[in-house]
Amino acid sequence: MVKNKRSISDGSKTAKTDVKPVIEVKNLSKTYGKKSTAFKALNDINLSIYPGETVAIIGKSGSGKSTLMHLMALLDKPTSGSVRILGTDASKLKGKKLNHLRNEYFGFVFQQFFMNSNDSVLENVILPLKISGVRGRTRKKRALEALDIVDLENKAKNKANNLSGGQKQRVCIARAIVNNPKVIFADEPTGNLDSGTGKKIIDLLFGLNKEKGVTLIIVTHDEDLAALCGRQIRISDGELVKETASTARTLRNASIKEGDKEDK
Amino acid sequence: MRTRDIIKTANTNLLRNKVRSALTILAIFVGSFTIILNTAISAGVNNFIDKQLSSIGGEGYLEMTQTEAMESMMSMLNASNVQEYTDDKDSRNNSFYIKPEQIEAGRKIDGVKSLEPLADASVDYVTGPKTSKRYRATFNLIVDGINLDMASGKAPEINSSEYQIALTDAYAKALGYENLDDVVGEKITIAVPSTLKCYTSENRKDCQTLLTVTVTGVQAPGILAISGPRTNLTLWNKIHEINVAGLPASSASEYYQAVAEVDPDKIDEIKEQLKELGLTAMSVEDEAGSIKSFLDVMVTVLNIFGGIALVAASIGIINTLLMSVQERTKEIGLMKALGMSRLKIFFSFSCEAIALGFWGSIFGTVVSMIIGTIINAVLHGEGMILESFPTFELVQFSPATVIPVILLIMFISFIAGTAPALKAARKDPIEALRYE
Repeated sequence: MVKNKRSISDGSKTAKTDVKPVIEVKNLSKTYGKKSTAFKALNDINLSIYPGETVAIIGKSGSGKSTLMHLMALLDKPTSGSVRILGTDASKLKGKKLNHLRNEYFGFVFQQFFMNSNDSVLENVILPLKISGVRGRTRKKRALEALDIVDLENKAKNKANNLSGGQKQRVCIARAIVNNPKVIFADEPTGNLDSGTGKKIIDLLFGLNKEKGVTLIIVTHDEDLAALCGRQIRISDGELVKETASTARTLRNASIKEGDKEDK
Repeated sequence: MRTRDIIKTANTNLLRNKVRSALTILAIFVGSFTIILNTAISAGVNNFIDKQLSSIGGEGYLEMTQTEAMESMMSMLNASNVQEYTDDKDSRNNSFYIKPEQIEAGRKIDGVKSLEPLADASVDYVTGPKTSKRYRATFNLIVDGINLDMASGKAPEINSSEYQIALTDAYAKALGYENLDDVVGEKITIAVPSTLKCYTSENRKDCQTLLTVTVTGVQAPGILAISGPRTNLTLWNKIHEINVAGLPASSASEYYQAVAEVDPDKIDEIKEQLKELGLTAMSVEDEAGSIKSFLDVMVTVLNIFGGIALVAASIGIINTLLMSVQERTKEIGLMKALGMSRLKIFFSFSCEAIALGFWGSIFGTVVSMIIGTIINAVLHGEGMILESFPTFELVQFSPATVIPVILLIMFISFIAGTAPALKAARKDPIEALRYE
């Protein structure tokens, strides 16, 4: 397999070369287990993600794409190599700072939603703010604003369990954006949804990218969804096999407009 | 996450699984109820005994008699023991009296604050303005170190210039005062005989001196033997003076007893040294010590039962929390992913354990207080054993006894919760999120 180390040559990226990458991955490897049972989940990955980009990490299940995301999101520690967040080496960050960074810079959207089903929608959205120690009134206001963005303000008091899948994922998006993150990691965000509701979620995420400049990193095996992103990073057997830049900006815009129509 | 949020969340999480939490709290409740009620009863009884003890003398109070007097009395009771009489002074029965040199030597012992011979004081009767009847009486003296447990009014002032007395409720009632508060400040009359005069008087009346005495209050009834009316020193001395009027100075200063106030920490050494002087000293503890040590054993045994219940409850806490950690694996993963620190995760689960302990012990406190109040009311009811001891609260709650127990139970719960909380804190967020 050819190691892929080429630099980004996409036109839209060259304009950003003087901008610091939000996430910069260098020679990243991750091995699970020891010696005889060792399994190399990721091998020597290099990539940079710039502010405001939309990046898809594509690969089959077991390819290592989720591991890559976990490492970039600082949920896991690499065996070797480094992850830099806004120029800072994450391995140099300890406990409190690391938690802080994850809490304030990153938002997460998961395939299985991970909602506290017995809590209200509002409580679920408030959780990141609670963890970062925002006080009562402010956090309620901010959570309601986030719910307004995903169009679920009227469901704030409902139990999370009583929502449909699409609504749950919208709550997750509200939870992901409530701290105004720089980066949103979405792990198969449409995986549990039918195509109609999936589309709504996609539109919502790209809308956030367009309007708020949030960097979007989507982990998926869905080629159509990946094609909507500005860049596709293909992972196979733990290696970065191919990186493509999409010219589909127009396509994406069209999709958002379509989505808007559907919403109305 | 703010501490307030952690505490709130912990309580919310307990409410998620109401039955399970309730059962665990019930287990803690059993242990805490036992311990709290037990502590309250022990506080009530100890308090009552202490009051009783201090009304016959405080911690540093010693009563002493001539050792020889005790011994020869015992030997005379023993029919086989016949002692030979000699002209030696000590062979005479007046050796029962405490000698002035013994008093002097006793006062020099380290730790003895005061040592006074106790003169005899006898009265013929007491009477009051509300009754024409006269009642026989034996008085006791209040000295330093005695704190009377008063049912009404206050204790006599030892060195007041006034003749003062504290009655018992039996005397107050006999003198015609149904309400114990009414007798406070009243003047009663006592008749004091002069020993010498009475040998020659045909009419007892002729050798009696009547004194007017102020009643300062009524003593609460007690369980210990010494509980007659008590006078202050001024009155006591006056009675003695009248008793011995006309007698030669040598026999007027014969004392069977002496009392001392000593440093309570040195009481055992002092007793030892007094023994060498030929004086047998008894402390209040000697008299009531056995009651207290029995009580201590009983309380300890009951507390062990409570402790065993708490150990069982702790296992319940561990089980509940382990289940909770298991069920909420994904939630823990999410919270970690969202930047919650290990320490706060640990704290949030510990907090659940502490909350279980807190609620268990609060319910334990409330229920034992209710039951304690009922017990007190029942025991003070008509025909019940405590009817005649209105100041004896068998079950006695005070923040000083209840709060440490609650804190202790919360601490035990915290300890029980550490293992599950550590388990939660150590969870790997990715593993946790993957958990099905």
